[in-house]
Amino acid sequence: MRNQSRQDGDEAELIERATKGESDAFAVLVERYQRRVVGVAMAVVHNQDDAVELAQETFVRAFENLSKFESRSSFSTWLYRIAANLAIDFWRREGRHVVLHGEDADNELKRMPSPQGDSYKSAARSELSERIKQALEELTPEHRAVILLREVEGLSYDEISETLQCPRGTVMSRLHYARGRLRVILKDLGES
Amino acid sequence: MTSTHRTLTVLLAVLFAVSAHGSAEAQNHPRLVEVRVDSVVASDTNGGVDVRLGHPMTRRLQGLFNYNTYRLVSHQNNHTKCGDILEFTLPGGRILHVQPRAVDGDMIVMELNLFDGARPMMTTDLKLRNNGILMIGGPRYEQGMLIISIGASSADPGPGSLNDRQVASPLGSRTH
Amino acid sequence: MAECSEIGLLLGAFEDAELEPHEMQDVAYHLARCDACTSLLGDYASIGRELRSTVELPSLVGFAQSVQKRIDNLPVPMGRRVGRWFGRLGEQLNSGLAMGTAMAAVAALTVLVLTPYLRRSLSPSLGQALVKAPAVASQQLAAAARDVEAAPAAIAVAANAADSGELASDSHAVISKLEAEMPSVAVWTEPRSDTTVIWLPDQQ
Repeated sequence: MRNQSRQDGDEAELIERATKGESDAFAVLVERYQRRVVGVAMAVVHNQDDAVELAQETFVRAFENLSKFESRSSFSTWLYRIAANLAIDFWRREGRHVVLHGEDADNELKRMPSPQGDSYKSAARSELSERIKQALEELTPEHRAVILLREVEGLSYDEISETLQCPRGTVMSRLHYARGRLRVILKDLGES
Repeated sequence: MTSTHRTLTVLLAVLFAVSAHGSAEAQNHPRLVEVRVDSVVASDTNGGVDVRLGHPMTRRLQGLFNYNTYRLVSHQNNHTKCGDILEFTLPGGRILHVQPRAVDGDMIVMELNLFDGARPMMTTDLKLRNNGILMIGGPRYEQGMLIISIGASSADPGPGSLNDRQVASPLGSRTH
Repeated sequence: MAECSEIGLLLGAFEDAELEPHEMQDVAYHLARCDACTSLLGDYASIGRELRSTVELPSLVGFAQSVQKRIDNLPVPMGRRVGRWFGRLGEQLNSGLAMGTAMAAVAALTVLVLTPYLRRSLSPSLGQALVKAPAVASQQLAAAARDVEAAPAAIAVAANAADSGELASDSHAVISKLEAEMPSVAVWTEPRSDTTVIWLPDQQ
């Protein structure tokens, strides 16, 4: 508890110094939150390169708007909110869909493992990962964001609610829907 | 002319006071939304129209669809504040979650989720006019099609309104 | 005993330990007697495990340096530039001159604010000139009030036109997002009955 309050005090001082333009103070904040901010962006856009780009943009926007940060909310959820908004806007503009045609599709099929091979177990694991990724692609950005923020980033319902700026009840409802959809999609993919 | 300045100043002060009072009232009494869900089975079994549906609903159904039989299976209504979820059990093991999010002028912003048991069927975000009706139809039930009529209305609660009474039990037509 | 349909929404929150204590008890009591919900809870836990093992975060080597570089390349805001210019100006000029300018600005502002009270002690001609300004303002206010009175009449005309179908009717439902399990979904609105329909055909 004492360590947490010390860190909060450090953070308040870092934010104040960064607001005055001290870039080394802001650099400490970047190091502290970079992993989680990238995670939030990944939860929405589900693409590593885009997530890194969006996370960098998040920190730049945060630096530009530090004077608008109100200390009554936590700095971390303020950052996550910026990241989520940028990521959702990006997704709506760009809309990623990957469809294989012709030779690409044939090559993909040839890579499917033989059930007799020694590498079957690891290949089966890889196939499951692909199914998970495909199932995630079929969710809307809002549903994908809540399920990944909860399951991968470990945010609480209240933190997700603040990050995505929706009521806690909406978080619960979307999680319920996303889990139900993933369960159905994974079962269908398994059967096919 | 000094009186004009005084008049303007007084007017501004009154407007400010009224708006501050209004926002304080709004904070103390968040908007309640009432949701009414009617489950109707439509079929071509020459059974006529269930009298319990009433004239407005009968006209609506006959104007929208071409069935010759409409039977009311269930009527439910409940109310909640924006941000909470209402759950309605529908015929055939289906479940409807209605979550009013906000009241934006004359429009009620809400999210609907329809489940077939635990399996999600549909999710939608929409704005419905106050006292407007949305119908969801198509799932089969018994010998016909299920049509779910969803109506929503909102009124300023004011003091001493439903807001001050217990709204719903945790289980039953539940709120979350 | 609570029905499975009542417990369904709470299962995920139970797994996440996000329920109130009495709700946790209700769910736990139900799970002790319901294999189906227990199995469903197991599926949710599996989904969580699979997601955590599948989702890979990218490498963050050089991330902080890239952010710093972008910040260093940001254009300096106008406010800060102006502030720096005044700072340089203040250094060059005598500080007393800067103070005098500031005081003159404050004095001018004070005069403007106190005008109605100063008017009483001013000469009649100057007093009349100052009186004309509020008179013009009150005329503009009266004109605006007449426009506001005319607005309800315009609205009434529009409402009558809508009743007779001359205007395109406002939508009584605006759907911003719709996602359904079935591949074909129909949506239509019947303006005369103020109803929007979403049709979800059962898959055969």
